[in-house]
Amino acid sequence: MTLLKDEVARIGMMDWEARMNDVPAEYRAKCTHLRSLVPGGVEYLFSPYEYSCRGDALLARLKFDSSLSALRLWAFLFSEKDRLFLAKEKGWKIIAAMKDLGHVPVLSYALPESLTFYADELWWAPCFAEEPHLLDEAAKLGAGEELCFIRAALGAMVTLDYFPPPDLCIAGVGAVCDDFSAVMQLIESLGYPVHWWEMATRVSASAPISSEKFLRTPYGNSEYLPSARNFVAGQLKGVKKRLEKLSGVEITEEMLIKSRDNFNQIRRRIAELRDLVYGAKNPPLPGLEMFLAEFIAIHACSEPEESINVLDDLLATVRQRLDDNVSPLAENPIRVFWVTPPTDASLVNLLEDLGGCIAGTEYLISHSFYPLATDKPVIDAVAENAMDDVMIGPLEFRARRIIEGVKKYGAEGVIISGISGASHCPFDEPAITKLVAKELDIPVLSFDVPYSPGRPSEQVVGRMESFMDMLRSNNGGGT
Amino acid sequence: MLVAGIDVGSRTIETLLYDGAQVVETIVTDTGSYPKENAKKAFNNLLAAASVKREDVETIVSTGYGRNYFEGADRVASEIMCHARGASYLFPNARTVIDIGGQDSKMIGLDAEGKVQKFVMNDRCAAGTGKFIELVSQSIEVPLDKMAEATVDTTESCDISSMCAVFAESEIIGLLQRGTPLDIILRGVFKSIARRTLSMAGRVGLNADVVFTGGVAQNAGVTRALEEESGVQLHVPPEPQITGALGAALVAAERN
Repeated sequence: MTLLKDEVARIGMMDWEARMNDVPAEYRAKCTHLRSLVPGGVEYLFSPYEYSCRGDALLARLKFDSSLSALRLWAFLFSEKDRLFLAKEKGWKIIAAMKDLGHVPVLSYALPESLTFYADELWWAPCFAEEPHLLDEAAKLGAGEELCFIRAALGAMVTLDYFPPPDLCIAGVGAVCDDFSAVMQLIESLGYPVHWWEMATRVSASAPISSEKFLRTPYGNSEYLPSARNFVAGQLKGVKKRLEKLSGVEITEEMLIKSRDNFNQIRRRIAELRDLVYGAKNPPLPGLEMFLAEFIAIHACSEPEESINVLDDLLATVRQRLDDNVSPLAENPIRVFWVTPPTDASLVNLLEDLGGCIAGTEYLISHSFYPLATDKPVIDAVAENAMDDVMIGPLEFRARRIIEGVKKYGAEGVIISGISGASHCPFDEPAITKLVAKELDIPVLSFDVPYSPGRPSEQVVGRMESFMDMLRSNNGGGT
Repeated sequence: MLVAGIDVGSRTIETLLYDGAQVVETIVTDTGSYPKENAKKAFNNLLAAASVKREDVETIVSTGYGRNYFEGADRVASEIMCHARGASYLFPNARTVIDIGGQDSKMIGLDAEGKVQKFVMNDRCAAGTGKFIELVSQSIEVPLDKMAEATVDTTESCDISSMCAVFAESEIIGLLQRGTPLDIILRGVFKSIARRTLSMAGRVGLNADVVFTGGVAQNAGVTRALEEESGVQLHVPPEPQITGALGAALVAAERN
């Protein structure tokens, strides 16, 4: 048996299972969650196979990084369900934050004895594709194929397979996607308590609609009107009040600062991971693990403190591999920038199987990699960070961020994977393709990812193979 | 040197032997419901037709949707790459390739060296593909190889507005029932396919020389409609359906 610490590869689910006896006991003991709920915490380091047996059968088709830290990341993701059910059982408040992409949790995690999760993140979880019954349930309630996969959240609110009934749903509307608003209204019709708050639109400085002076965000360098930021701050104050009403606890600025600092620790670690992995010629971590890690920035897998430990572990692995000059991928892979999260996780594996690697992403959450400002009240800092959100302004803004990312990480091509049914995707793709092609003159591949449980669709595979062939040829690699 | 290319498509399997200078033999058969077995059979028939043994063939490259079904391949290559290679071999000045096959259509932009610069595919539905022409052929009871001939002297056409092959078939039956002449309907069908195909040109460009390949390129009616709708003259190889297999063989030859 190869020692885990010496192995740098992508391995299958059963390979991991065969190695589980080699996982040191002290490492298992380190991987605990819910430490503030259960003395000493609860161990969560199970193998992907274990989670597969519990229902996530499609994990069998994925390839995982062979490091212990990656195992911990996967186990942390899949144990979120356990956290939510156990916390509910112990009388904690369960809060479903939806479609705000990282803003509400900063406030809600200030509350003691509560957990927050994103019900609408179901669609990207690698296990999702095997849960067609969630889509069937959603369809029964009126959310069919015309809506994107977040409609699964509606089905999950009916079946309660993934999470217990939330005590409160906090839903963003306004400058967020329309599918979500439709789904959320149906969730409310099921009788769940919903607090609605509105996200402001970020108008372009070139739009002559106001005499206000535009400001710029400190980290994302986005232009915004102070009135838009103030509006969002006002909306977030409403969220805070609703949380206080739910818990009977006043949320002080000190409590918010503690939560903000936790999220800043998470955000800084993910930003560093991105730079180390995406900036490396031979990436020290595969794209799939990076995919999971990036999303921790917005949802923290229902436990910010353990998220920090998980990310620290990943960073240690990455630094070690960079020092050792080893990578789990083929040598000198073709560098691809990925736009919009792929709703079939196995496509990231496929890219790497085809000799590529992910060199930068824009998964619609790039604002959440910027730290929250510490020189102002927390709610104002969160509202300011919301102004960096790529979804709330002109498409050119998102394209600009993609172009900057492509340049920063030296990508040779761009893949835009559309989400079938998502209202924004048909508009995103042409504008982004046009601007990227104009400014960078590198190939762009775009396709919609259809619902295809079990394996990627032949059409998508064919496109990706052709695209990688083309990049390889451009790269002087022949066919 | 003897190499082979095999293009396992949704409707037909094309196999081809190439000796480094010219095409030695080609065989085209139906894919049927068992592409794995039929691809093997087609390749064996190719060897038999050329009187060569498997050991005589140095490298075999498979392509097409069913490329992974053919177990005898030394390697597989994407269809885009193979169609581009085949088209630029036949027409060295090719800058755009339009390929319409059984279940998809694609447009490929090439540079001066014949390398793929851009490509776009339409494989979401059957409308605009060979399968659609087959459906029309069945519903109007005109054999595939007689469809273009029926429109040679026709200048008029009708609009086929349905975006779905099944609904378009119903629309065509409705037109027949209303007494619309067959040749005008067929011209409408060809123009509909042409417009759908050319809608991809916005992303790739339609730079001359434009080569039209794939099984549908055998239909002179579609070629004419494409030329009329685009205002560009198309180059059609004598055997357009084997372009992918030829490209695969050329890739095999390069690897030797």
